Amino acid sequence: MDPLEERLSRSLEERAGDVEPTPALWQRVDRRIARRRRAVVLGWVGATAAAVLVGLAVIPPLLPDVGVPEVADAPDVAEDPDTGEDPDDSSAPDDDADADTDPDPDGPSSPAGEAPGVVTVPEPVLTAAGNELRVLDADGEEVAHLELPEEGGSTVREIAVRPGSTLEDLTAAVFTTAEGMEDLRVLRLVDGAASLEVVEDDRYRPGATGAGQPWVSGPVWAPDGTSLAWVEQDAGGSRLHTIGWDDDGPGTGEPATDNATFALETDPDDDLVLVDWVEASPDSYVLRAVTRERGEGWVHLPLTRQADGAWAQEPGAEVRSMPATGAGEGPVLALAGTSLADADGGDATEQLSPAWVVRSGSEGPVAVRLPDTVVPLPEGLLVPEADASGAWAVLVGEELVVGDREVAQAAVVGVPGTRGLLEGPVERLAPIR
Amino acid sequence: MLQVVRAGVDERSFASVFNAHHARAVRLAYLLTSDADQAEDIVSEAFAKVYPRWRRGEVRDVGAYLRRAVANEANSKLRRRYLERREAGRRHGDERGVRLVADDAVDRDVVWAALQQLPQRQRAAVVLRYYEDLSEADTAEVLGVSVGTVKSQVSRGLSRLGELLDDLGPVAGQPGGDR
Repeated sequence: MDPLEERLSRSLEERAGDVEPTPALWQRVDRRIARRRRAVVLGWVGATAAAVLVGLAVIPPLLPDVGVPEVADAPDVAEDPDTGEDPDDSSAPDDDADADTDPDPDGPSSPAGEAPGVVTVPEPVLTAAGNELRVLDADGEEVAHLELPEEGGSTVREIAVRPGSTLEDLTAAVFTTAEGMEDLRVLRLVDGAASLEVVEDDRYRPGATGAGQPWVSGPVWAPDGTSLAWVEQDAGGSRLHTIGWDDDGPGTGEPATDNATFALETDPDDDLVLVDWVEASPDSYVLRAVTRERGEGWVHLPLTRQADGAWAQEPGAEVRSMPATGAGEGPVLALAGTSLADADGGDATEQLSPAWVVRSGSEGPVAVRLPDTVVPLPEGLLVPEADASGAWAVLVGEELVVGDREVAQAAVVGVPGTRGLLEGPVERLAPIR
Repeated sequence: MLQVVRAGVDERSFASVFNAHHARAVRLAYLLTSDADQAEDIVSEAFAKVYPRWRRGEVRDVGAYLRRAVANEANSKLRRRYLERREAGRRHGDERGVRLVADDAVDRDVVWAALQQLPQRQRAAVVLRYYEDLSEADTAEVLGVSVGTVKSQVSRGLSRLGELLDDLGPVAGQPGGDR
């Protein structure tokens, strides 16, 4: 060691020697373990209770009973002399506000693997679970399989397949946490050769602007695949980011379309969960979101495309309420698909409605094909309402795929009922088309 | 409540694993973040992550696993702080950013103050090399980067430390302070 290295080493040792863990540290560990365990206790307990929703078409779920997963043992804390508190007090509030999105390795094994009712969807899809990404063809056969480095808790958070993609030429935007950091990665699959590259440029990656670590939601693609968007929210407010995209990747190099940030005048307490980006009419678009608190509606963020290709924000976000369909009461957890009311005149974005809505209520979670066809969802498919921040829904062909990132299972839902489970685990799914 | 650890794993309780490793882990986290409370938060998360794997007997070296988990969690915290510092610098027109430590801390230990101004990856590499005394290869494994990256990060970190020690106030006779 040279003198500087010796000085550094000595300083670090001395500074570290000043630090003593507090006696309460074990309690913090125990609570986190308990919280992770709670997230996987839900399991699959069958879906035998047919919900009755007066005046509506009620379709019973078709899934069979499956066992409740084994719950992990609590660690033995008898040897911890520093604590006198009940280590099983998992009801104690956890002061960690971060969402725990890591898949618990002790979670329930997929009941879909051997249980009856395992189905596929009739389109190629990209799925994510833990640190793995899988590209599946329309027969459910694996075409490509990518893994993030296992260490460091590398996790795929969100996926979005670029419109126009095929199994031979696929581009997907992937939000990941790796080494504890949020990143945008670009998945490319060209003629069987797959890659997953991190976007390093601050202009094109999430979390590069604003103060602190923002809550990041998205990404979603513009319908023509020329832009990608996400929402960042922190103490400084909410911002919508759009970046242009061409065949070389993020950024176009053109000032009008390269990247843009829009301040959103949304309630700062309404953490937006960006769902999709849909076209209402030529040059008139809407980004749709539900709220993390899951209000009884959803949010429209209107954008228009200018003559030079630049996006322009229409004034204000619009909160849309769930139509009065009589389909029960309860927060909207997810939505998918679009329908445009056949009406003359008026703003097309005002007539834009989801094709499906997933909402929770006293009867449990249901999928509603608007206006009034209700399909109860299997019990345990979604985490209870209070924690339902990971629910999602995607329209694949004529069917709806509903899942929850925390549960890592997905069900294929249609009319007249739930058709079955996808082979799991599946935390996120995006159709390739 | 005392429960039996599931068969097939080490007979030691997880509490004893905790007792054997938590102090070192907290100190490492503190060196990486400069915040004692945050260090405990990081370490509690690290133990929560290691627990299920340990219970299944998948963790051969708990200390090494914890080091990786702590370093990764700390990186996240440091990145957050970096963004705050950068934003504060923009607001104040001061590209050097805001100082992370109180003046009395600077006076007490200029090396410590300088360390906190290193970019996060350089800081992590330097701490792992000179506190944990890890080899370049082991440091690379912890950080999930190549050995070459570790070499360059440590080299740049030391170089930057020398510059910062000059800026923060030379200490007579100390390397980095009299250049």
